[in-house]
Amino acid sequence: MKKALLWFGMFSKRLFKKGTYLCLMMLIPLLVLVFAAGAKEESGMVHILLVQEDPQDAFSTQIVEELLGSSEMILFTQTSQGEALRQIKAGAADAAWIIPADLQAHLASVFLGQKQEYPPIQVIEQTDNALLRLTHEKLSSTVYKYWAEEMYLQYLQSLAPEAEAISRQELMEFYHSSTVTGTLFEYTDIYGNVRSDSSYLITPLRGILTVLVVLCSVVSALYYRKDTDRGLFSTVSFRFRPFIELGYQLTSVLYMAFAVLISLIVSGLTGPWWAELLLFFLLCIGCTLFGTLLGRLTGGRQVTAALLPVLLVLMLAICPIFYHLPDLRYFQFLFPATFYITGVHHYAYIGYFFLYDIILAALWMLIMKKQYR
Amino acid sequence: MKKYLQLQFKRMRKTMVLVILVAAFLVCGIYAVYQATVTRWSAENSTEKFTIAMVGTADDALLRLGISAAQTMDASRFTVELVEMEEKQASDALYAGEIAAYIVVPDGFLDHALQGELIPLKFVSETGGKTILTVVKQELSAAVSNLVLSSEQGSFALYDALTALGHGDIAYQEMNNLANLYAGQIFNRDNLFSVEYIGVSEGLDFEKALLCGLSVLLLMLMSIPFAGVFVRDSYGLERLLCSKGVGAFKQVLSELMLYGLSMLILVTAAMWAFSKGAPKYLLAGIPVALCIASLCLMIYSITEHLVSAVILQMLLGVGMCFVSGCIYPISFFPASIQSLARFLPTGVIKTHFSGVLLGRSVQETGLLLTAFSVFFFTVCVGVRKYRIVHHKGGIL
Repeated sequence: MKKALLWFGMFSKRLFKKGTYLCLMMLIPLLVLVFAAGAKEESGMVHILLVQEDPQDAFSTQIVEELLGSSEMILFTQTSQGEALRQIKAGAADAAWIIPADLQAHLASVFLGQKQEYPPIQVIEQTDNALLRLTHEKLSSTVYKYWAEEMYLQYLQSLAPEAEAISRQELMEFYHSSTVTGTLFEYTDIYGNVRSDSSYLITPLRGILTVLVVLCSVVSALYYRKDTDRGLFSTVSFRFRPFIELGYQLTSVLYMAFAVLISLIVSGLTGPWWAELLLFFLLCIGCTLFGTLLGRLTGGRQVTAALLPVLLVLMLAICPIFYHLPDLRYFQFLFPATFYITGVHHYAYIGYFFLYDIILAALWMLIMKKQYR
Repeated sequence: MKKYLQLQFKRMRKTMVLVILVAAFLVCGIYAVYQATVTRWSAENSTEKFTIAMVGTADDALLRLGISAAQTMDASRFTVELVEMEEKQASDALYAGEIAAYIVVPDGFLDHALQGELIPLKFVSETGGKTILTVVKQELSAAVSNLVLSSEQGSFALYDALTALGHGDIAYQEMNNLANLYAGQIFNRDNLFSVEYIGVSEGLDFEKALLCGLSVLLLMLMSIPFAGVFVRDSYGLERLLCSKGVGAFKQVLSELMLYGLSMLILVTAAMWAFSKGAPKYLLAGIPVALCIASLCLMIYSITEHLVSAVILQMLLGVGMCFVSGCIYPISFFPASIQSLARFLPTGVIKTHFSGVLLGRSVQETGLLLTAFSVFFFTVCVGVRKYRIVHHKGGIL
């Protein structure tokens, strides 16, 4: 144990001697913190401009106010019609919704099914695409909400004429005090976890940072080869070389994984502390073994170096970082990043990660036995 | 300097064959990602609908009628397909990507709803963290929620109001009548608006913008294999060269020329592979190649450790590409990040590529990229000079 710590100390000293590794470890959480802070500002996948023909019109104003800041998918901003057209043509906005002054007067004929030669709201879009089609639902459901209130009032007054003598505010109290409030849906993922409030912009960070750790392990393998070729470990007995190799790589992986953990904490992307601790240790072991095995399988340093971007792209594409690709889900299990990303949501993956590490360890022992026989 | 150039060429030549093979693989891979994304999100190309499974509706005729009505009469039938499944089947289908989400209708949902009590429906989507698709599905479901809840509120408010006004005898019947009216009106909501498409005259459409972004990502990743050639932890050779009159400036210039040339070949090949016409891209590609090469050389100069060099290159490369809108469209990010992205090398390269694709003048972005190159080159030379003078050398 004492010797192991001594070697760990020496490898750490070698790693931090140049200073850049330490700077890098401090830089990562800082960059993540800055990005996470920036990502909290208003944004959207689609930028829609709201144009009110008559800003004094109370009905259209309440619709516009309801829309502004109401959606994670859509960034709504208000502007004039001329500016809206200019921005759409320049590609600065995706669409504009032009709300007329007399919208309320048109709603009865709209919702009662009368064919509209000129539908009241004009939607101007850059181009037809799936996302913009979905925004139409947002528009119609928001206007419908206010129409539903009008419909209730009109229907009530048609049945009970004495209601016309009662103020609108009093009649709307029945509407607003209804027990039917909140949301129709409770959102969960497939594992039964309630949806988190984290932004979709920072969610990929967990995956990107994990890929960083995996890459660190592969590059450490490269560096180990370089040092071995220089004769740095020539005095070490063959019996202990495999463990020296593991320890060498584990040292850099451990520090990088720690920096990643700090980054996840500052960005709020962590799960329960016990899951994170377990995943941390499994990640360190998994990445170390992964890097060692990959270094052995690819042969030369140049091949390993050339494969780095391939590995990077494969992990970014296959692992559930930006998108979940069901057709490739079985390939995902080749990479330790998959277990680290998913394990925080689905605890069974912590068990799978343990199994994955066992398999890698078995492969490693097999290869080492063959090599150092 | 000529001999140093030849030496660097020989060192790079060993790596070039592999780099070319890797580049070919990456071009194919990134093109596949491009095609898959365009197919999914482009309305012209996509015939896919969001398939949502309904669970727990098998025994309820009224619910099944509602689903059937929505699928035959509602405008959402062009974008959403509702199918009925058992929960286990739906869960497996979601995991396999056969459906976008499933909705679990709890027992007694309708009975409670008819009494004004709302039991939330469980909307299950995704198998992991929050993604773009999760947000899209939630938006769609929130719109549905709005429609249903507004109708319910109106119906029950009518019941309460009629009862309070002494019309309790007709309250229940009229509540149902109003609910039916609401249901019919929901299907007419498409009459609310007309859509006009005006196109984009000054910017790129979705497909070309994605192409630009992925090209930048490809080029940033392609430079990683060169780390092993240019990262150095001792400066014996460099000191010797210095003593022979090949100072830091000439050394870095030689490296930049070779590295830049390799990147230029890759840049031109990438631009040609995605949209034909090599000659016009060669000239436009020079500032891009110089910028990427000088940025990477700067990273390799600052870090003396191969691990640090690759990590920093990946962090800056993928990080800057992400923030510059090369993976997610730039419009997805807040205004402050969009402003920052305009001044990042990856953001400027993306704008440069956009200009080339649109056939516009790229002088401004070319100059900016050249300025970046000069800055990175200067830092590189400065660090080399410092290291030649102060570096202790050795392998430990």
